[in-house]
Amino acid sequence: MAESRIPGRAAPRGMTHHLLDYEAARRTFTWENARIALTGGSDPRLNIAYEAIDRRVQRGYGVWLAARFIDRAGNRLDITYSQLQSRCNRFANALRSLEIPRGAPVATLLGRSAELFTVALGTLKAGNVFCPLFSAFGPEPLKTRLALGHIQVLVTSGAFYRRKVAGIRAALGALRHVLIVREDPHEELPEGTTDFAELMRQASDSYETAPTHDTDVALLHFTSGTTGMPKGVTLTHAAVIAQHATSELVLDLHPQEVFWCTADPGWVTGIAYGMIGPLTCGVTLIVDQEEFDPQRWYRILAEERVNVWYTAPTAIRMLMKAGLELTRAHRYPELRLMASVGEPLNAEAVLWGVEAFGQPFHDTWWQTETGAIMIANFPACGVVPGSMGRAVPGIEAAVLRRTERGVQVVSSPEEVGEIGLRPGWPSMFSGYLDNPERYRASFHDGWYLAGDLARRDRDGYFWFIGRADDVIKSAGHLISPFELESALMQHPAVAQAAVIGIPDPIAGEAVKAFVELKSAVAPDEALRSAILGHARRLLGAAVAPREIAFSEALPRTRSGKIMRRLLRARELGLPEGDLSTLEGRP
Amino acid sequence: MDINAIRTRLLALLRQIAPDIEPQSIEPQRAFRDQFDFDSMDALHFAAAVSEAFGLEIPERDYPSLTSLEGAARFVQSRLSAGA
Repeated sequence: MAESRIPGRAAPRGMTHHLLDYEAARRTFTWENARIALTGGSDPRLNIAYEAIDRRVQRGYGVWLAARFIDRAGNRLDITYSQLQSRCNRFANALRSLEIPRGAPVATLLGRSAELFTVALGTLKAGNVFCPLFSAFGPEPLKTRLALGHIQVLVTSGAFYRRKVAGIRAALGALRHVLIVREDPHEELPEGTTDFAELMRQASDSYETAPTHDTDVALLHFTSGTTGMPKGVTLTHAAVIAQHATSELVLDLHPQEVFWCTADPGWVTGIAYGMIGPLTCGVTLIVDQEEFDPQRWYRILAEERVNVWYTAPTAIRMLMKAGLELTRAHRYPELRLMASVGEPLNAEAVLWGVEAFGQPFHDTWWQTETGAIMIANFPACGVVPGSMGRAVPGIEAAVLRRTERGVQVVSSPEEVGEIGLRPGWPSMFSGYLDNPERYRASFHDGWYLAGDLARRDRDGYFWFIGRADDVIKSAGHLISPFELESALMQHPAVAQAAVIGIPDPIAGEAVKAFVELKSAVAPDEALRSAILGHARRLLGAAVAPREIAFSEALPRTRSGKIMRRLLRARELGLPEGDLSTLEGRP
Repeated sequence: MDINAIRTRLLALLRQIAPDIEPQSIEPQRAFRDQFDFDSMDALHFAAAVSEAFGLEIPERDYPSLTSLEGAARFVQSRLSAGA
């Protein structure tokens, strides 16, 4: 397909792109070499935190800035690699002092703070499993995840604890300690919690990294499926090999560059590329603690002299909406690479990058289960606007068709199928927690099936089509209709609920809920508002539906399953497809 | 338009987007997102609702004025009187 390609840009003077020749890189790249390039040898031990911090310090990066945290007022907190190392050592010792055994999971419910970095990397260093929780979740999704994850230690703020955790704590049998990061030293500690700062003060700042190996579980990330509870995706310490390699090959990070990943650390991107991968490259991370605000973002890009910026389509579309006048209030001479992840990036947004910054956004594709970027537009190769890009060196990606005889690779270009990846890369998930059947079901005939539909053109570029299931992607968050429906059904007036994603110009998809009321309950505005309020309180604003519609009878299959697909087709005026299994039809 | 009438109308708009908010507990000077669960999509929807309800064109650079109840009320009042 003759798509208009935007040519690649040369690296700044004195710098060479990590990936210059795509075909050559695909031929020569091996994961064994990538491991050696990262660790410098063949030590059988491997630990993410050690690679991200200790090895940097060892190589003389200790005095460099690892991260700069910017608070709402614009105050900066700078932390060097050495300082981050001492903080992480203290936290690792603190876990030992609490008698938390190695391997036990530790979670955070925190904003984008220095403490979150300390806890994440300190936990990994201690050989424990780190589980970030999205701080915009309401009590219900938190309860589910804390329970499913068997979380033993939770680090959070006093405000989050009071609002979201205190009420569910009794249901969390495995949770042994709640550590509170106080906003000021006078803040009262909630009952049954421990002061994080005091625990850190008492701990030693030297710690010998736990002797973990490639196959030891390091990270637990929750993601959403169509049916059932959220899935706890586990990644091992070997993930750092792929997160490091892609931070070089795709994000082209070089030591001492300034890198800003805008993703929230509650999700996998915020950990893999907001923390781990870039630190292994020796960059300075910019961490903005404030919520999205166009003027603030432009100011940060300019004033912090950001070199490489990794953001998301929803944010880009919001910037587009805000207008070029705001973009042009600053200049960005240091900005040399812009990339995007989280949802498909439309061609208009890629091209807007050229208009606004003189360079395109580079789309990338991956998911929690893949642990690292799998498909990308590479800086030296240029961008095909609207395309997800090509497979990363070391990754075999294909478009697959499911047939009765098994899975087949689609060989003709442009045919739509499911994205499949050949297992064998180091950040591939090692399991779904407590759910080996579901893990096994993700693989067919030697392929991991990603659940995303795409086509591939003659040049090997992938084009995103949609999800193969009913999972909703709104503002970059993967949302499970099942989890939302369960929460809606807890409202006393609701008999049945169905949740779908409808197109939204900013968020990609917006969540719409259809509810069937219990008999004798009359639908009115007050009730609609009450149900919406209920959903927001339970789920949190970021995942709750934005719109609620009453439905007299939700379409069901004969077996009683609600047909979300049909609801969506009706909502969007699309063909309704095969209705032969629909209840009430012949 | 009287500022109290504007406030009442704004509260109603706010409650349409986030019915989980208790109107009596709102601190008018404080940013919405510091008081309750109100994300950036909510803020965008609120700005659109204010624009429609009062017939005002609100450019993005003015959105920071709409982050608290009092800020929004004063903004709407000044824009309405400027247009009158």
